[in-house]
Amino acid sequence: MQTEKLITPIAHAFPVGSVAWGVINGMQVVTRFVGSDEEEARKEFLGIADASFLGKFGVKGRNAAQWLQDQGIVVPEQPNSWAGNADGSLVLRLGGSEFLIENAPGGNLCEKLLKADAKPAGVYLVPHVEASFVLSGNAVQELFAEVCSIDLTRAALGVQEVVMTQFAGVSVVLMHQDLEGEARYRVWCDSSYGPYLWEVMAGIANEHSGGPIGIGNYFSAYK
Amino acid sequence: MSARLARQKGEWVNRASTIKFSFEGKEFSGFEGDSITSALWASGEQVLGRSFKYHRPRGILSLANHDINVMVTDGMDTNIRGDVVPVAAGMALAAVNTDGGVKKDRSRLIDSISPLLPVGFYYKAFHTPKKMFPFWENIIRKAAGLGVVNFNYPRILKRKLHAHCDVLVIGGGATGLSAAYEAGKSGLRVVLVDENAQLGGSLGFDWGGSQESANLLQELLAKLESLPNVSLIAGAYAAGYYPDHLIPVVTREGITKVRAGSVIMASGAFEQPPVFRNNDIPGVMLGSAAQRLLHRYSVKPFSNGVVFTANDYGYRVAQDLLEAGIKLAAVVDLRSDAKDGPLAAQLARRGVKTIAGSCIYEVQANADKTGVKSVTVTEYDEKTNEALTRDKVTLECDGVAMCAGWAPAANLLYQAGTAMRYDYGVHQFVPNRLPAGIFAAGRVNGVYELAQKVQDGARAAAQALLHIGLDVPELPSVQPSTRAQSHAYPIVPHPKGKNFVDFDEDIQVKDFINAAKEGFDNIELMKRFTTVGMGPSQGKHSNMNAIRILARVRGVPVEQIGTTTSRPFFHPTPIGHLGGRGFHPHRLTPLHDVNHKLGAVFTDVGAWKRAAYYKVAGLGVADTVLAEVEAVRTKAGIIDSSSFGKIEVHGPDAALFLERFFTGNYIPQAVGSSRYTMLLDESGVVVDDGLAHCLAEDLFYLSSGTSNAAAVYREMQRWQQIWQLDIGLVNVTGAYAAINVAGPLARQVLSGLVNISLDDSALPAQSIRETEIAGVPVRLIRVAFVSDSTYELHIPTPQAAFVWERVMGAGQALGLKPFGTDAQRLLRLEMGHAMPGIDTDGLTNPYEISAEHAISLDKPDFIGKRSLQIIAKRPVKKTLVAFELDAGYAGEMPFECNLVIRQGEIEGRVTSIAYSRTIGRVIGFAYVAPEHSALGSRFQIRADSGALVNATVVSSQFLAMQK
Repeated sequence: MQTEKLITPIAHAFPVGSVAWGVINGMQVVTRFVGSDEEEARKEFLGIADASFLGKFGVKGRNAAQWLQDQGIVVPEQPNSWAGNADGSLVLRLGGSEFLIENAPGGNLCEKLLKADAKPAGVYLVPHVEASFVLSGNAVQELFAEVCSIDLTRAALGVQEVVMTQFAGVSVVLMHQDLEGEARYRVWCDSSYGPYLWEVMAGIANEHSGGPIGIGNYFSAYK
Repeated sequence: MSARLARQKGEWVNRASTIKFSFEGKEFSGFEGDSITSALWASGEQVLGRSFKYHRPRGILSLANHDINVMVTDGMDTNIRGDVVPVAAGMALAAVNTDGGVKKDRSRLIDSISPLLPVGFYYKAFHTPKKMFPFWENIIRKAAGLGVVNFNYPRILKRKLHAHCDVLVIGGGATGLSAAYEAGKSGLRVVLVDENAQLGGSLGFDWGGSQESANLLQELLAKLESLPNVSLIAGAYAAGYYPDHLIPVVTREGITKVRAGSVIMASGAFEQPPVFRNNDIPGVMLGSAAQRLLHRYSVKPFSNGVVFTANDYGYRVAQDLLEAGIKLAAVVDLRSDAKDGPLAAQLARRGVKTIAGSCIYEVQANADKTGVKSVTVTEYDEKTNEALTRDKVTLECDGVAMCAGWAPAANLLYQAGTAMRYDYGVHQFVPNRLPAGIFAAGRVNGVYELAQKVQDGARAAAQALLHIGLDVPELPSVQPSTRAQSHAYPIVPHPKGKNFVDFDEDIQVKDFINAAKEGFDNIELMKRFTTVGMGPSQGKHSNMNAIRILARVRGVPVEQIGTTTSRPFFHPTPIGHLGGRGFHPHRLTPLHDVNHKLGAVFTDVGAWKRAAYYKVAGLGVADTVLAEVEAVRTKAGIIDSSSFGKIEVHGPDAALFLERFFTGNYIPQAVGSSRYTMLLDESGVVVDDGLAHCLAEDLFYLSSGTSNAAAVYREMQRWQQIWQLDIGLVNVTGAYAAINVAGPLARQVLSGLVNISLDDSALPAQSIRETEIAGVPVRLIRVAFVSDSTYELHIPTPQAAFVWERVMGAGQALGLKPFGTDAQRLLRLEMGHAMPGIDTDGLTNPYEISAEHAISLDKPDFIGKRSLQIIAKRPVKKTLVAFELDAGYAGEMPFECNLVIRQGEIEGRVTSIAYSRTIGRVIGFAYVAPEHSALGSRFQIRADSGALVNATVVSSQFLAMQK
C-alpha cells in the first residue's frame, strides 16, 4: 500500500491555512491547530484530536478469536470489551465474533496481521478506514451528555468496556483508556461521517474553552 | 406608594441590588430576585394585563407560572410570564394582547358586548352561512393569539442534554426534599428538580403564622447539603413523562432528558379558585399567591383585604396576612360548620370575624376598574349551591385572597399511565394504581399535613430504592387526608355572570351550562367547545372546577366525569428549546473536496452529499446537465459514486445466501462475473436492486444504490440470523470509494492506468477484475448503467482522491468531464433503466415493472417467493411503460408524479421524465393500465396547470431506437 497517498477522512472539516499539516504513518493530517500553550489549555478543558492515521485491522467470523490468539494477540474475553497488547495496540471485541485492532502509536501490528498467512475458514477480513478521535478534559462528560443519550460517566462505563452507540445521530464505537497519566476517550465512526462528527464535537469543545489539538498532545511519539 | 414590606427572613429579593425597568412606557424599579409582577405590584401597579377574550383588566392570580393574563413582551421576546420571570435591568416591557396599551386597551369594549359572544360563538360563526367563513376568519384571526411572533428573533443555542440518575424526585417542597434526603442516604445518584427559582415549595411561603415551615426548610436543605450524590436543581420543570422513565427537564438554558431508575412525583397541587362574580378583578388572587407575594418578595398583596375560603387553608393565609400587618375585613367561609371551629376562634382572638356559611356574591371594582373597592357577602346554601341574596353585606376592602381547594399536579402521573381515583375524604383525585418504578407522595397523593408530607416523602423514597434493587426496609404508607382540603363545589352562581372558571379563556359558569345544554356534556367535548383548559395554563386552575360543574349539571359523581388527557409538555416550551443544537448527520464522500474544487453543486441523496452537477460559467443548470450528458455520450464522463452501497459476503455458503436473498440465480456464478440482483420484501414488493460480483467462490461483492444500502445490510443480517448459513457479512460502504468512468472514450482513459486489458473479450459487460492504479488496489467493474461503456473503480476510501486525480489527468486530453447525479439520472433514463424507489413505490411488484427476467421462480425459495406466486395468478393492475412526448413538443413540461389521465379518470402517474438532447424528445417512465401498455398506445399526462399533454408508449431502449 502506498500510504503517502492517504489523507485523513476528517480533512474537509479542518480550516484552511491556519493549521499545520504534516504526514504521520503516511497520512496527511493536521499536526497543530493553535499554539502549543493554547493546545495545552484546550486539552485541560476539552481537547479533541484526530487519530485516524493509526493503522487498523479487522476480522470477524466464528474462528476470528482463535485466529487472533494464534497470532499472539490478546483477545478480550467478553463481548463489547477491549484489551491492550504489550506494544500498546488496542484490541476491541465488537460483539461476540468481530474484532477491531488499532496500532499503537508508531506500531505496525495491523500491517503484520494483514500480511499474515491465509485466513482459515470462518475468519473474514473487515477493512477499517474509520475516522478516529481522542477526547479528554474536564468537560468531556458535558460533551457526551449533549451528543449521546446513554450514560457514559466513568462509573457507568466500566474499566474495559466498549460501547457501540450514537453520537449526534452517528454510529460510533467508544472506549475509555487511562494512558500516559491521563483519562482519555477514544471514538471511531464511519469515515464518511468523520467531518460532520468532528465539526459537532469540536464546536461543543470550543464552547467549553477547549477545541481541536494536535495528536502530539496525547501521544508523545508524535510530539 | 410602595407595597414593599420590611426585610424578612427567607425573602428572595436582594435589596442591595436595585433593578430599573419600564412597563408600558413608565419607569419602575424593583430588586434583584423580583419577578416582573412582584416588582410592579410593589410599586402599586395592579393592572398588569388584559384577558384573552373580553380584554378585562387582570392582575395576579397564582404567581405560580399560571398567570397567563400577565404576559409581556420586551420587544424581542414575547409571552414572557410576568409572574415568574425575573425582572432585569433595562427591560422595556409592555403587556401583550392589548390595542393601545394595558390601561386604555381599545378592545376593552368587547367586555360590554360579551352577551353577543356566547360559548362556541366562533364555531357557529364558521358553520353557516358558509360564504361568511372568510369574513369571520379574518376577524377571528386578528383577535386570536396573544403576543406577536418576532420573526427576527435571534437563534440562541439552547442545549439538549442527557442525564442519568437512580432516583429522580420531581418537586422540591417538604415531600420532595424529604424523599431526596432519604433516597440520597443510599449513596446513589439522586436528582431533584423544582420549577421555582428556589427550593422549598410551600415551605417557603405557606407559614400559617408560624415559623415551623421556614425552619423545616432550613433543616432539610442543610441535611441535603451533606449528600454530594444528591443534585438539587431549581428553576427546572419536569415537562413530561415518556416510557422507561425518560423525563425532559426544562430550564431557561435548555432541556435535559433525564433517564431515571425510579421516579418520585412530589409535584404538589395547584390551588383552585372559588368561582364568583368578578373574581378576576386585579386584587383578587389565590391565597397561595398572596402568600408568595408576602414571603418570597416581601410585598403586600393588599392593605385591607377579605379572605374567601372553602377550606382550612384560608385560615393559614389569613394568619400570614395578619402577621404581615395587613388588615382583614373578614374571613368569609363557604362552609357553614366553620364558625365554631378552632381556626375561626384563633382569628377571633386577633380581632378578625369569620362569616361562615357565606360567600362573596360579587366583587365591586373601583372607579377606574383597576382594583377592588368592596365585596358583597351573602349566605350560601351548600345543599343547593346558591347564594341567598336576601341579606347582603358589603365589606369595603382593596383585595381578596381566595381559597377553595387543590387540584393535584398529576400531569406526569397521568402521562405515565397512573390510574387515579376520586377520594371523598380529601376531595381530590389521588393515585390508585401507579406504574412500576413511579411513586407519588405529598399533596399529589392527597397528603397535606406537614409532618405527614415529610413521612410520605421518605416512604416513597424507600419504595423507589426497593424498585431499583436496594435492600431497604419498607416504610408505612401514609393515607390521604381525611379532612377535605378542597370544597366539593365552590361555585357561586350569579345572574349577571362574569364568575370566571377559566381565566385563560374568559369562560364563565353559564358557558359550561349552555355547552351541556347543547349536548357537549362529555368532558372532552366540553373542553373543545368551551375551550376550557386549552389556554396557555392548560387548565391548571380551571379543569377541576369545570369537572365539578359538569358533574353537577349531569347529576353524576365527579369520578364519572373523569379528566381530560394530559399531554407533554407541562408548560409551553419555546421552539428553540425543542430544536436544541439541531444535529443534521450527513455523509461526505472522500471526493467531496475534490468535487467542490471542480464547482460541484451538492444535493442530498439519503444521508450523503452528492454532486448534482458542476457549475459552468455562463450556462444555466439545465444546459449544464445536458452538456454533462453530452460528454458521456460523445467522449467520456467521470462521476463520484462512493455513496453506492457495498457489501461483502464471505464464506462457503455465500452463493447460497444470495440465492435465498435475491430473486435471481447465483449457483453457480463464474468468478469474475457480475449479475443483476433484485430484492423483494416478503410481500413481493420490489425493495432494491444492484449487482453481485463474484470475486471468488466464497466471496461476493455486492453493489447497490445509495439510499437503501444501510437497510439492505440490516435485512441481510436479519435473514442470516434466521438462516444461520456459513457466511460472514461485511458492510464496506464506507471502506471503499467508487468512481465511474463512462462513455465511448472511457476505455481509452483507463487503459494506460491499469495493468490489465480492457478489451471486450478480456473485460466483457458485467464482469469484475482486481487490479491496481499507481499501486492502489482497485476493483474494476464493467457495468452498463449510464452508458454501454462504463467502468466502475472501487478503491480504498483514503486513496480515492489520489486515484481520481490520476484518472482526471489521464482523461484530460480526451475531453473527460465530471458529471453529477442530475446527468446520471437522465443518462440512465436514456439507457431505459427503471430505478427502485424512483420508478417503483412501496406497493410495486416485479410484474408491474416487467422484471420477470430477474426472477427465478424455479429456485427452492427466496424472499417474497410465496407472495410472488400468489401475485402471479392475479391480473396486473398497472404497468410501467417508457414513453415519449410528441416530436417538437414545446408546451408545459410535465413533472414526476403528474397523473396519467384517461377519459377524466386517473390511470397512473409519471415516475421519471426529462428532456433528452440525445434522443431529441422528452422521455420518461409512467404507470398506465396494462391494456394500454402496448407500444404505440397513447395517453395523456395532466401537467401542474391542468393542461393535458399527449404521450406515446415506446420501447425503453431509447438509445437503441435512436440508432
